[in-house]
Amino acid sequence: MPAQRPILRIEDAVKRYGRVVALDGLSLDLQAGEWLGLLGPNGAGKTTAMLAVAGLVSLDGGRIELDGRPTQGPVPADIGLVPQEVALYHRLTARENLAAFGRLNGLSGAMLQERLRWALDWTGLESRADERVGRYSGGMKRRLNIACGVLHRPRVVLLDEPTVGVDPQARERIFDMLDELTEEGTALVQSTHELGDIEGFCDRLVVMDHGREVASGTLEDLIRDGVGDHAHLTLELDREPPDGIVPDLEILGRRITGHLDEPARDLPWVLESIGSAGCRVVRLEVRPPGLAEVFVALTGRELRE
Amino acid sequence: MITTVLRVTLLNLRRDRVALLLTFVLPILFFSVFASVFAGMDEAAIKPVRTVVVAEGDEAFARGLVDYLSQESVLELLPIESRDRSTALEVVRRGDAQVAVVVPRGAGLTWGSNPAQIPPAVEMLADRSNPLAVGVVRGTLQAGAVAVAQRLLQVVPGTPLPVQGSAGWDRPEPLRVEVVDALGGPDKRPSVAFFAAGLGVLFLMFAVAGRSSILLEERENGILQRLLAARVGLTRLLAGRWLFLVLLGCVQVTVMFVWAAVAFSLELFTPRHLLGFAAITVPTAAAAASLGLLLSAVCRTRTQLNGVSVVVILILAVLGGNLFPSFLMPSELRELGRLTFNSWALSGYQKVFWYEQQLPELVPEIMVLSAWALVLLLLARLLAQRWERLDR
Repeated sequence: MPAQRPILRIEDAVKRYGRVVALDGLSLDLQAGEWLGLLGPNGAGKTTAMLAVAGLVSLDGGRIELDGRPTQGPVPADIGLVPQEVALYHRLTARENLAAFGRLNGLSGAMLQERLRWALDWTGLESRADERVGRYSGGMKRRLNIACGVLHRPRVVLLDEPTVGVDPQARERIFDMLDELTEEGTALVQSTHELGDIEGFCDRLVVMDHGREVASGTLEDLIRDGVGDHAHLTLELDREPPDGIVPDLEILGRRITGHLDEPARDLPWVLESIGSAGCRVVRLEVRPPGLAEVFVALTGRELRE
Repeated sequence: MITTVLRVTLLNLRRDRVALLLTFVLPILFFSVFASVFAGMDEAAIKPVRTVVVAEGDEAFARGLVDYLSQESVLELLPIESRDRSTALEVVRRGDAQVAVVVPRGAGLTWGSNPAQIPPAVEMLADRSNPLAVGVVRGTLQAGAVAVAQRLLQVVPGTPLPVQGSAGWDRPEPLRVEVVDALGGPDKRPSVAFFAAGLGVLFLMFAVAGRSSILLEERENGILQRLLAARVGLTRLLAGRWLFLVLLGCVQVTVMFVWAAVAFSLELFTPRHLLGFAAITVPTAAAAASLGLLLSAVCRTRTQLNGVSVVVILILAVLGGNLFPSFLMPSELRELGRLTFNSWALSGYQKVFWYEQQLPELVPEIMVLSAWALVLLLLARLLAQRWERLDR
């Protein structure tokens, strides 16, 4: 079966701000209906990459293609941008905001009305559609912020940290909304430095650092290739154990942490060693590796550094 | 504890350039401007008053008086096409001269004259918008009358006139002078037209500068990113904002003038005045709107815009004559004021509401205001280029 042509392709993108290299040869592909997560610390180049796709930042090198055609100059209509900030007119109502951004994106008449109804239903804001946005909660504003960027049915939506500052419930709601978009065939590029935003939602991840891709693939691929299948162990004891009781694990006061290559094989041995030293386990946690470990393994630093 | 709070507050102030500017630089700047204006006021008050003189008779007294006036440094005697009262009146009405002196046939000193034959009064056809000019000419006429009489009677200056002690010596002025309003009637108050225009234009500038901050707000909260991504384009965005500011400005100034008409009897509701008002208001609002956009294009934050616009607008207001009439200023500042668009707006409104001039006479003001509007708008567009692509 021939490979499907990507709806968005970034090839060897380079962008410099003076001496700072924001994008250093970034390349990635995005398929229709795919949800791609761009993960990286602040300054990794995620926002620059998205603004370049939106045509708001000119590249110093490389190219961007939308549906096989290079994008240059004005922003293509197929792109929807959801800025990191809540980019809404706070003295206007949700309906007025949607209408304004809809018109600016070329919608009018019955089509605009139809899309307004869809957006208010999609965001769950129908009952408060005629209220000023300034009175909305953070989660409601975020939902409306996304709706204003997708109202004109773009084929690719760029979401720059779309859930910054919202509570977990509101975040779930937003991800459900985005899920609906991908089901309809819309491709999403979502940047974040919050692991919770990526794990379990995105189809594919691109880990970025210093303007480059350091790894990409599904979450499972990244974990397997980045840190293997080991588990992370945390033990809390009733008292401080003697030194060297469990080689290869780190002892810090009454706390023992470390990796277990094969938990089923290694854990009984660890517990037995602790028991034979006369200590009792008060708390035990065995956790599979996550993106945080992958990121540290790939870049040598924490995501929030 | 208190010292820590003090230290933190001090550090905050030290690193806030706008606050420092408003706290220390702005007061000094304004003091300097006001000091320059009012220190020069005495001098400005006796700046030559543009005057025309018409002597209807050919008597020695009239000739002597005209001769005296022409040598007085406080007056700038303008040539006049035809030496008659109506031409002189027209010169004042046009605003070319501030006062016209009409010396009637048989004019002379009242002192010592026969009560049955008191000489006719010298007429001063005056533009009352500058009360100082009226006082200056009136005083010069009295001094001139005495000097001429002394010369005619061959009296050494400084010694009493030989007529002293005779009948009529107790009259308050040696020369009878009648001041006639060359413009408007006694009910017409020049200060109403001046302040409606002055304050109207001043607050117009503040209003548009304040509203133009929406561009910075949009930039700060990401809306600009969204607008540019929607292919609105910066030129169209600025054009839309500019148009809004022009409309806002027109409405604001109109409200001010309607209030002046209703509450202070400014003559606005006649076709001629309405036409003149519209002809000046539209380009004034356009220039103010362009200024607002330029200020927001220059500044990087709304806080910066607030500080900068207060400084710029107050300086323009002082130089342009919004806060006090320009005839109070030293001539250098007055000349500098002509470089501000608001001075042209005020001059236009004065022409409409005080000098009762028609549309063709407003063309210079309309042209200058329109040119300012265009230049400031182009500058704003040029500076706003850095917003267009977020990497600039």
